[in-house]
Amino acid sequence: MDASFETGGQVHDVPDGTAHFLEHMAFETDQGNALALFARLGVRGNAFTSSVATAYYFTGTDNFWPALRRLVELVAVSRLTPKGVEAERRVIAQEIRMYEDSPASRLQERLLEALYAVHPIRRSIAGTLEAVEGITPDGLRRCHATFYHPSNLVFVAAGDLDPERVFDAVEGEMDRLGVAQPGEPFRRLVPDEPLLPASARTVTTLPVKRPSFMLGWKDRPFGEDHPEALFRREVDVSLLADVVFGPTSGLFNDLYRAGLIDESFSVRYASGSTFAHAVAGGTTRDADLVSERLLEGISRWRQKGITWPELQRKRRKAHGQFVGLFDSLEGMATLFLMYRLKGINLFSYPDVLETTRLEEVNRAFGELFAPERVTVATVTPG
Amino acid sequence: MRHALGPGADLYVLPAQRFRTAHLLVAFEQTLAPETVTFGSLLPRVLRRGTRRWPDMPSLAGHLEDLYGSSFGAAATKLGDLQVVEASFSCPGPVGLLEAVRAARRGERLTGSDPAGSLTRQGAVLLAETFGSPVPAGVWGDYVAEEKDGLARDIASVGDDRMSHAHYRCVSEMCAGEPNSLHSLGRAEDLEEMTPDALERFRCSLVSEAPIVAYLAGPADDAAVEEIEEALAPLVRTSARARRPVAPSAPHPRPSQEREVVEAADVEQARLVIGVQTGTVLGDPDYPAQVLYNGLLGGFVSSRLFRRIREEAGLAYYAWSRLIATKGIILISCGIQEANYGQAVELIRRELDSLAKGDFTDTEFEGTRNSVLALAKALLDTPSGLMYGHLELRSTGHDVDEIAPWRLLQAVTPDQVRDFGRKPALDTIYLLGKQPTGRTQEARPSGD
Repeated sequence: MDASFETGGQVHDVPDGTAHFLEHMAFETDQGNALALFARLGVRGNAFTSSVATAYYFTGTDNFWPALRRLVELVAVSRLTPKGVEAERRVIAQEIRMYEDSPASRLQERLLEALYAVHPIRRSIAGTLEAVEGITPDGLRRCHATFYHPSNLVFVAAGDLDPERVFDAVEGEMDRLGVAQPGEPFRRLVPDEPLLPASARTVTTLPVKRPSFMLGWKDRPFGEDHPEALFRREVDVSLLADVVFGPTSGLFNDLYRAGLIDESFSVRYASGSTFAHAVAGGTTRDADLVSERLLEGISRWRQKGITWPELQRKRRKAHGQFVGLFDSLEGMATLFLMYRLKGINLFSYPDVLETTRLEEVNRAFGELFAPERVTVATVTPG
Repeated sequence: MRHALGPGADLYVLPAQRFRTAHLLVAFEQTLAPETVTFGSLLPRVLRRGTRRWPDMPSLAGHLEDLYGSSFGAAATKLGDLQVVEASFSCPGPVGLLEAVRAARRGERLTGSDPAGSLTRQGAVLLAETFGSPVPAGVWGDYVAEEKDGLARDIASVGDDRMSHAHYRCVSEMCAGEPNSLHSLGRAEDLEEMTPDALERFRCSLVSEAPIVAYLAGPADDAAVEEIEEALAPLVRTSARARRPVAPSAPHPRPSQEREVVEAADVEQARLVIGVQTGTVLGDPDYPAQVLYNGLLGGFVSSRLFRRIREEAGLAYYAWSRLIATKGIILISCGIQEANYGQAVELIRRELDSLAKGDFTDTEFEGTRNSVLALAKALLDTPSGLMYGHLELRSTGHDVDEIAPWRLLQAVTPDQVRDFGRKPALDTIYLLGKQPTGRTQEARPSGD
């Protein structure tokens, strides 16, 4: 998302894969690899980079406080060396090759490239082998200095913890490390993205046995100032998608019985302040046929919209599933973080759910699933 | 704790009041065998399509939605030499749903009775119906035909997931002739004979003859246990005779020599998998030492394999080892450039040799033990971890009431791990690569 940014009057364009590379380098510390340091404390540390953010975390039962200090330090202080960067470049090249062998990740990348004309979400998170060659220690340091400071950071802890003590520990560690000051202001340079997909179709041939497909529908983004509206849209679309594509739907049942979709079929809505889209896909016996049948089914259903009892039922189900989330601390913390980055409080979910309105849901149906908003991406065995 | 439902039918209750969801599992155990593996794989696919009361996916899914979005599934799982045909159900725990959500938002805990009626009882009824009260014959025939096609496509495309295919191929070569060498999906050549009648006969014999294992994990009281026993009773009663117990999964025997297997695929990254024989299975006295050994070798990102192969040599993104606890096998896995094959194998050999000499420090040992204990405790925090952990123990012939692996792990000494380190024998080296031609299988004398 930060492929292009301005700071101190200067514009910087960074190669694809930079944020992900920086994530790898954060684990280089002057006492060895931070993953090993976490492991020695008996906690499991890791990190991930999405299109929107890089997150660092640990989970564990004991040694919470020393692990917490370790986590703050590895994020706040960069110890990367040119030698370390060269070594990590080889590791990342293997990671990229692993994704290249995965039909699902190839399909996802091709879909986003076809859906978006200029928005940075179309860029590969890990980058290409060529792009990663162009990443330098200085470039990584500049990105660390620009983005890794308290004014651009969200911290989440979940567990049987005293919140005040946690905040004190984080702030205390930042003071000790001398990294508690806000950073230089920066501005993300996100080009204006047209509302319609850049291309209606993309076909990839891969050495696999089974075809797969993804349909992507582009939605209008809400901008930074309307997180509640964005959350509401997300809830509306997920309820709608469950009615239309879920296991209770006739459309789902017909496609399943025809062998066109299987257990892998899933639907999700991805959004940030400057982008939003819904994706439906999975493996299939015939990628063209399933895409055609899905689009036909949606276009018929879109005319009449969904009904109140259908919506009610999905709300009840969504309530139950939200409760289940509390059984996974790690899942809960990650989800809470990802929503917080969008300015949304995840715990407002039951209220948003209770106040969904049928007209709004059907309006989303009409807008988002309009035929001109869709891109069809397929993988063909070859 | 165990409740006998009948001869060869057990219900295990794993109470955990801290969970906000309750989980039920009903499983039938059978030995993996060429004659039944494909039946075992096909049956749950057909069963999960519906029951006599909920005969299709929309009505079944609708029923689950009325139970507050409870979830339901059926599958076949391979546990060593056993195939387990199972159906599972999970639902929000016995507290008012919205109250639970609101309490969670205030950071409070809630207890109380279930206002919506017993969801777990409804779940147990559904699981009993899944196995015991299938859809009418005509519908059954349609589902069998559809699921056969789906299974055929799944079997044909197993190679699309390069990593799991490489793991399967290595284990399958290593265990050739053992039940465990069969793929959990079954065999494509069997599908022809899978008629609706044949599958129905298989269902009847499985349900009336195979041992039943049921679990309830999550918040549960005596009343809930009674309700579940009652709901499962029709299923247990389908058998007049005692259910025949299944032979436990047998440890893989010591190899007489090392083998190398190289196969071709159009891949960007070559997959190297090494099977190491230890012969130590779950429940054996030196099993805890094996867990520590695997932790030192490749169980964690602080382990030898990750450090040597990824961090020092930069050969791979992933490099780890894991236990196949039901067979006494350690599987080592990494994704590499084919040109680095020899170097990667050499690095792995060096670490096996180093651990065979007992070459590790107290710091390394303590760090590994911390990681092992943390993982063992984390497992207890997930209901499915609890149930499958216990099912795995059962498959090796151990029937324990309480799972407290950390106590055994806590007691392991460095010397016990040094003793264990002499046991592992390199068995099969498997490479899935782009250009396998021109390489012959070389045999080397094994281990010591």
